[in-house]
Amino acid sequence: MPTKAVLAKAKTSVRFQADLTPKEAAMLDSLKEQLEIRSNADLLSNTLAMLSWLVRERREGRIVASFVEDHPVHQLVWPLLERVAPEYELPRVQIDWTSEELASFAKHASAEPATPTPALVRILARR
Amino acid sequence: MPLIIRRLERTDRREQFDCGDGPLNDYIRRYAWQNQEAHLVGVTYVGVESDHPQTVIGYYTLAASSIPTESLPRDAVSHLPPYMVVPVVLLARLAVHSEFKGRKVGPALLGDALGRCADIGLHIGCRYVIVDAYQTAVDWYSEYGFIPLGGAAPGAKTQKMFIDLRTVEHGRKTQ
Repeated sequence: MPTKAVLAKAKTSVRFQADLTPKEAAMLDSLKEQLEIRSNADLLSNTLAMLSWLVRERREGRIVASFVEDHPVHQLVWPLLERVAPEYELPRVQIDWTSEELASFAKHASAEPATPTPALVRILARR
Repeated sequence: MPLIIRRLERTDRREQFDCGDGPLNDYIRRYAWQNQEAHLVGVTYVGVESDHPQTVIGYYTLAASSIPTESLPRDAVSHLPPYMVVPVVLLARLAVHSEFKGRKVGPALLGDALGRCADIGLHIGCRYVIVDAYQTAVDWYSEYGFIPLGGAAPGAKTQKMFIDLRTVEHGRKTQ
């Protein structure tokens, strides 16, 4: 018979499952050891807090960096995070696609990129 | 006269803009500013001449979008980045005032738009630019390397085309 505490936890928590490569699993274990975190859930919870902070900072236009006095500053450059940076953020819109258009896009997009045309090279030179 | 391309400002004179196409005229005259500043559904860049720096002679509008990976054929997805969506930039509109046609304003705007998309792509990890072109403009976009996509909805007045930003980046390095 489940206790009241177990039932309460089941009601308020969401189960999360992830497939990791052996390298990622080793990284996860190493992080848990270094940070003295016991469970995957605790690690995920802390990672979420950290990622939320990074997103909030970058969204407000601040650059995330680390430094040691008298040494060059190391700036975090992470394309995923730059998606929320105000200087690069574009308004989002929904494009209506037919399934045939998506298939055509996928076929072309998975090929090697085309060589730039002379006209393209010319107009890019002006910028 | 040198062409300056910059972000649309509230004080820009755009009520006289006439490219010969009603919806494109309406957009810059009535909606572009609101869409940019209030509704956040597109950022508009305008071309102006240096001696009339507030009079719009051409414009283009950019917005971000994405294609859900699950909607693409399975064999194509393996070639794409392992995310749930493929980020793209939509070149939503591009138009030139009729009086300035034939003066290379359109190519200058397109070059600026693609260069800007490549800059954005480098920072946010975006790979493709999509344009939904009028049928009459398909050849023009093709000249610059846009690839038409098959399978438009029956009766569609526009043609979806795309260009890979790696092609644009290659073009920038070719100069």
